[in-house]
Amino acid sequence: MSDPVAQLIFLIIKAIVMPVLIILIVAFAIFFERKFAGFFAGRVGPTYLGPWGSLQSFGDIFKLISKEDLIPAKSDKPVFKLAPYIAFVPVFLVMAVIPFGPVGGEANLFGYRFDYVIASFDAGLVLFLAMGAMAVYGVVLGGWSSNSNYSLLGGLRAGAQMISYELAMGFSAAGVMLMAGSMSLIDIVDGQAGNFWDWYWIPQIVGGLVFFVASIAELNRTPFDLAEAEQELVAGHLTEYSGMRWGMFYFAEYVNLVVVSMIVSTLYLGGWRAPLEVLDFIPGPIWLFLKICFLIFVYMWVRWTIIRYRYNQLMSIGWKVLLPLSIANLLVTAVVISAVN
Amino acid sequence: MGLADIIKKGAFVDILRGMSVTGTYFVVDKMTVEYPKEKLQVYPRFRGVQALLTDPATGDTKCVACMLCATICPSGCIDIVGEQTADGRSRPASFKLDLSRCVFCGFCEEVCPEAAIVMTRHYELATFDKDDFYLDKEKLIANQVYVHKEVFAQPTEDTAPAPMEAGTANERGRS
Amino acid sequence: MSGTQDTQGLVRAAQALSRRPSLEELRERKDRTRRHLEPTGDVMTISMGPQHPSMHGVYRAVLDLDGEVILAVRPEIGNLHRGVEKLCEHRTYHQIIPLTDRLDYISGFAMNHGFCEAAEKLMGVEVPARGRYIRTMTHELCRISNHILWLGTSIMDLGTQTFFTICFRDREYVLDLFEMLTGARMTHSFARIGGVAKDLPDGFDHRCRKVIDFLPKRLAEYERIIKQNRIFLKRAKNVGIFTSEDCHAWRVTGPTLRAAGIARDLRKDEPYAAYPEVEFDVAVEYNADVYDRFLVRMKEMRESCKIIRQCLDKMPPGPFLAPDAAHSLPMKKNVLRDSAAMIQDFYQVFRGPQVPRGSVYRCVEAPKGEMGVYIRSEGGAKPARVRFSTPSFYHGQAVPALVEGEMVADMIAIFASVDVVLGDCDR
Repeated sequence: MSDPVAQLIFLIIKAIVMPVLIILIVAFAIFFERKFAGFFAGRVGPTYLGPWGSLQSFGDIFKLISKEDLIPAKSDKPVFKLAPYIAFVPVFLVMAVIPFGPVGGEANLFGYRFDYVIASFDAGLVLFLAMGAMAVYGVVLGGWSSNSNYSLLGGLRAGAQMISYELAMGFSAAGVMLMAGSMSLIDIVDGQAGNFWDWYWIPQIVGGLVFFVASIAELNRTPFDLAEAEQELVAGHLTEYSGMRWGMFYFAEYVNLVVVSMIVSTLYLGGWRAPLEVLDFIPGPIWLFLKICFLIFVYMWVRWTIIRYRYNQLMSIGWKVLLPLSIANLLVTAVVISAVN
Repeated sequence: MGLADIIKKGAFVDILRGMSVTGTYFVVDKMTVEYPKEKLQVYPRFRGVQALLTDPATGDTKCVACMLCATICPSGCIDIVGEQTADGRSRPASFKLDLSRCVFCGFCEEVCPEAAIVMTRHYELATFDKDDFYLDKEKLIANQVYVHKEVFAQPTEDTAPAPMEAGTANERGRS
Repeated sequence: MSGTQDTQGLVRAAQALSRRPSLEELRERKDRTRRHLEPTGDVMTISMGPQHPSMHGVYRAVLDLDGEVILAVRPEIGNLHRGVEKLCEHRTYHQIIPLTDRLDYISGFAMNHGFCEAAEKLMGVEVPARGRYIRTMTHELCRISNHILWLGTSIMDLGTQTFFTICFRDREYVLDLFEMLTGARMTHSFARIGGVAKDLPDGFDHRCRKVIDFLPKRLAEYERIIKQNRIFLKRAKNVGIFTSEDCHAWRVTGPTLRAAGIARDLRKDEPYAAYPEVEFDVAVEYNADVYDRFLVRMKEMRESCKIIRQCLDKMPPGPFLAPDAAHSLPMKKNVLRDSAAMIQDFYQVFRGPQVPRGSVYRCVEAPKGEMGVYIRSEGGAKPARVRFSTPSFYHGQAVPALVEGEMVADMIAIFASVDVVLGDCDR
């Protein structure tokens, strides 16, 4: 078997295994979200299905599938049906470019080279930003096509929010790009070789915080969950969705949670690298998994503690605080890097 | 805004302070009572479904059909028909209580001069059969099993019984 | 030690005084924070409620929106109308007590108490000291339970579920006390004409002290979560300003009025029960916004704990129900022992309290505001007309004045901050 054929086989295996793993992580992320929501409030969370309630997500999926699929009579039906997929597909695509272990180098598996990434893509970061911008179309179109005022408001909010936070996100990620000298996520992780103090979170602390805050907005989680602000807009863009169509949105949200956690850990927390070089014997995917778990926990902790911003406050934070901060961060990074070189 | 404020804001001090509280709740004991599996013990004064008490000597109900409970009942859910026994004692021929109207105010128990009708600890009254809400004398007498107060023939103190060991909700949940 | 505390307190009081905005300032601030938009053709009308997740009860508001700004609100109440006032005309004064529970079911005892105070004034019944103290204590427990619930739901309306749950968890301690004392958790029916239904049970004193020692700690935890939280400050400060003149115009009372700088508290101004005999401060704040309403209620809960502790300390011995054979029910234990009491029992049940002709108005400081009861009697055991002037009704009708010019998200926050319960509103 020649090397290209082996690579093709590996690629197919990776392309199948990776989404399945992510979906499993998502199922448990949903379970832990509910469990931890209870814990943060001094409750016990779901306990019935499976040991410790751990099969709750599968029960949810079964319930959602068995529910009637309601489509409002005056909705724009093709768009209404399409919207969940638009929200769902882009977040999966980003997975392809995130490295979860060493890439390149010598043969390491059955005498062949196994790259721990699905697609070795030069502009991985750009793909992430682009797909994030694509995913919001699902929300906007879903809100618009439902023909409900609540949904429309939710969709509009989501659109405006995404535009303002993508900018801050892009600029703060540009700082990392400058430091790594590349837009490829593989190169970015390679640039963070060493111990945990060599990672980009120390030089890019401002950019990192901006990116983290913007990523909360991207994920539509409290305090930026304005699109589906339950207390104001019933369920925002999801108001008219039911059954598995609603489930798709919900699912996309959690896939996005996992993917964004991967991106944050790749950009600022050394990706698949071990925090100390002596721990390198533990394989990369495990470290990446632990970092994802940590970030998801932080996202949950934030979500279940604090309250939501108002729409105009969200906008002013995005444009007046985060964007200037991220541009300043980019400028300082650029100046320092050119001075060092 | 001073530098210290900016640093505090940048370090999310206010939000981290809140998160420290929820973080504490994350690890401490949980308050939840998993209801159908574990149940709280109610207090002696709890006002659940009514029961008619019987006289242990005769086995007949203590009720003398004086109509006080039926009269005071704010929702008019009690319907009594009285009769005279051979020995001249008055007793209810029928005693009907419509639970679907009852507001569990406890007035019937409070005015009863014979301590014959009492509120019990039983509160799980949901049913699929509407007829279960219409309690007649037999059903009310059968409800005696739920009586959680010590009822004396001639009580010396309130109808409240001897003190019951029961903690605050948190302790009770785990009892 | 106490000297330094005094000076610190004085300094703080002086600071508070200097920060206190005048009415003009507040008016100007209100004008600045509200958006004054001319209605254009593009008005989006949304119907909020009666099934909206954050509309309290079955309140319905039809909102005219320009973008996210509210142009006009048309509140719709009455979905929970049960005709309580009419029902009262067909019941004796004793039988009305369970009906009053269902007005404001969150603070049932306050409603019982208000009605009984009015009926006692009409009948000229003197409540014995122990009865007054138990009433005061229960009323304050009610206030705590109501304010904790308010806190949970109103912070939830700003977007966090956790707060709602932890507030309910701590309200449980108070409900537990209620269950122990009255036998029910919410619809107590505990006040009676001439006193209260039952004496304190054994062990109540101890447990109640435990709870009121414990609750302030929990309140401090709540404050730790949100009092300085930047998002809460942004969402609550200078939002929904309702000045004292607005409050007077719309008859808005209770914490909302006190947050506007008016120290109006019936417990002090027109004392009833044992309030003249206990020491407490009236919680007042001056900025008239959502944040100050939060502060007022937090302070009130602490004051309530103080009042309850004093009541427990001072709890006098003696009867808890007036020995007034003409107007009040006898004590149960006497009924079973004493033929006079039994006759009183029969008399009260079959004939009812014998009330002179006349009319009376009495109001009490319920947790949500002033709860007034008007009774007109034409003699006999049943009132000719009963009118409840409940706080939520006035708070509910003031919603247009409260929220016009604010944003949709603030509408929820403001509506929650004035504390409306629909059972109280629609009656």
